[in-house]
Amino acid sequence: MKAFSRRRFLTHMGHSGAWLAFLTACGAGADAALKGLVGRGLLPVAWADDALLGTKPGMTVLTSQPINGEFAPHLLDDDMTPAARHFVRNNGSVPARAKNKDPQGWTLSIEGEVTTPLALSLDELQQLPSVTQQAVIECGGNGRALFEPKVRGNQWTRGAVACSQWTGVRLRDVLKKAGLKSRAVYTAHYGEDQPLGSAQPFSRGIPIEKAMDEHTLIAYQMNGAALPALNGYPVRLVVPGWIGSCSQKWLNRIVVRDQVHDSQKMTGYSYRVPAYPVEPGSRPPKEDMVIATAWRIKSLITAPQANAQFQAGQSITVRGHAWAGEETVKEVLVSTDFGIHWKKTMLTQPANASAWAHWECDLALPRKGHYEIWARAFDDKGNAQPFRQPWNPKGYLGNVIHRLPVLITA
Amino acid sequence: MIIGSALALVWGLAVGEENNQPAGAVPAVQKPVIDEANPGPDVLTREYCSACHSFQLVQAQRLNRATWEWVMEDMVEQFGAGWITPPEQTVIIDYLVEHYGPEK
Ligand code: HEC
Repeated sequence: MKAFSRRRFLTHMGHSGAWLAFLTACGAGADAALKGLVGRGLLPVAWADDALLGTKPGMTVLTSQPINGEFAPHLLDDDMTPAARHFVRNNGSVPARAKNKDPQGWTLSIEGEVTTPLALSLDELQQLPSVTQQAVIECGGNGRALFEPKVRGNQWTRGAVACSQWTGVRLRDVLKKAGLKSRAVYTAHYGEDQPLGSAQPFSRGIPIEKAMDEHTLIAYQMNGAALPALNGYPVRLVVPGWIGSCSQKWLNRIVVRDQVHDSQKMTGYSYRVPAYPVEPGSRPPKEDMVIATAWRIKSLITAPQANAQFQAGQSITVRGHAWAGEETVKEVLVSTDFGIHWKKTMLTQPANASAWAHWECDLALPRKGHYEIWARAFDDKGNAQPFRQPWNPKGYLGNVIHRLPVLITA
Repeated sequence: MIIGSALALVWGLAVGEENNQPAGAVPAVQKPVIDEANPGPDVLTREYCSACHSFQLVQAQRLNRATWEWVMEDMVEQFGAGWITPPEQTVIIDYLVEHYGPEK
């Protein structure tokens, strides 16, 4: 993983060879440069997040400060994603509590438009009736790298998605305990992570109806163990079907609001998409941007691996997952001839409503050559994945079909 | 070419009570000090644009001028990089467009 990120880094260094020369002159390694001042120990310990990268072997690291990383599709082959393979999208530094796995002093406060504000300790939270369910969590920017023209932000390809098992308390049970006032319309989530620079603390929210959905959880376990430091220890939200930023990590405070939450990450162009299709490369006025919410139909090919080689006529097992935000996956088709012919795959229903479905089929390519395997999923409402990525200025909700190159030898 | 870049960090009260923010100390990242009389655009860009996050984030982008201007505006106006002066912004944007512009 280290080797990979260095290689990736050096590739980019091609753009500024002078800088590399300068660094060599200074006796600094490329990695130190990569970390800039942080790597030279000139930023606070809050930034010493690197050690945590070891908890995610195989992760493609997009940035190390803050840690952002995804997994190549073939590493996401498991039906239920292991904790070590769950992508990481951090907006700031990992809280000390999470690094030290220290629940001491943590409370979850519920405030705002409630009749009885609460401050629950981890023990108190864990005493409430618990629910265990798998859920797809996917960064709203997953697929951003596939937008044309290019858009700003972390250049996620396809791997900022995972489906792990979450254990926790229904958010609605906690909100009911606090007693929602009639003015309550939206939640505002806060966590213990420190933002970069003078950005506002990362905070997003969801409409009360989604907060009261039986599948929206305050989770304290992932795959039967405490949450990993990078995935929100001790507690995070799990808001199935909606973009990942709704599922606040390191959660410690929920404010119930009488208006749509208006933090930095809820307004302007943050986590928002145009209300209508726009010309690629253009930027519509702020007033025309609406909050990005549920994901749409999507699929991933997890086997074979990209650029795998097979012999002509050899049987190839193609498989992967499909998920549909708040809808249900109906079928997944594959093509090996750029969409001229399509083949049905066998679909296995998800473990539960908020999990992903699995699909599989065997195919053989009779002649040598360079092929692409395409997968296209359909939901029960008649929606399918697009062939070309519809464009929006910040690259959210990308769900273009997955195209996987394979090589067939004679 | 020597940069003994020291970054002074001030832990200040940067964020107020609006939007239900918790009051508290939020780290403000100050302008990196560059020990060089006339730092070139490459040095300026790298030192300034890695003060808060990895420079990897910048290197991964392939953006046109309008989008780099938009990014700069957000760094300066929303995220605390207000210490990048307008002339420096121009130099950095030119550099970004040249090195991390759209692929031809
Ligand atoms: C004072 C701190 C600070 C400085 C200095 C800074 N940034 Fe940022 N930058 C941020 C913050 C905060 C974010 C948002 C991080 C998040 O939420 O993931 C960000 C995000 C970004 C992003 C990706 C996300 C987006 O919104 O498009 C790019 C690209 C970027 N910065 C470029 C730059 C460049 C270029 C410079 C140098 C001119 C720079 N930054 C300097 C704080 C800073």
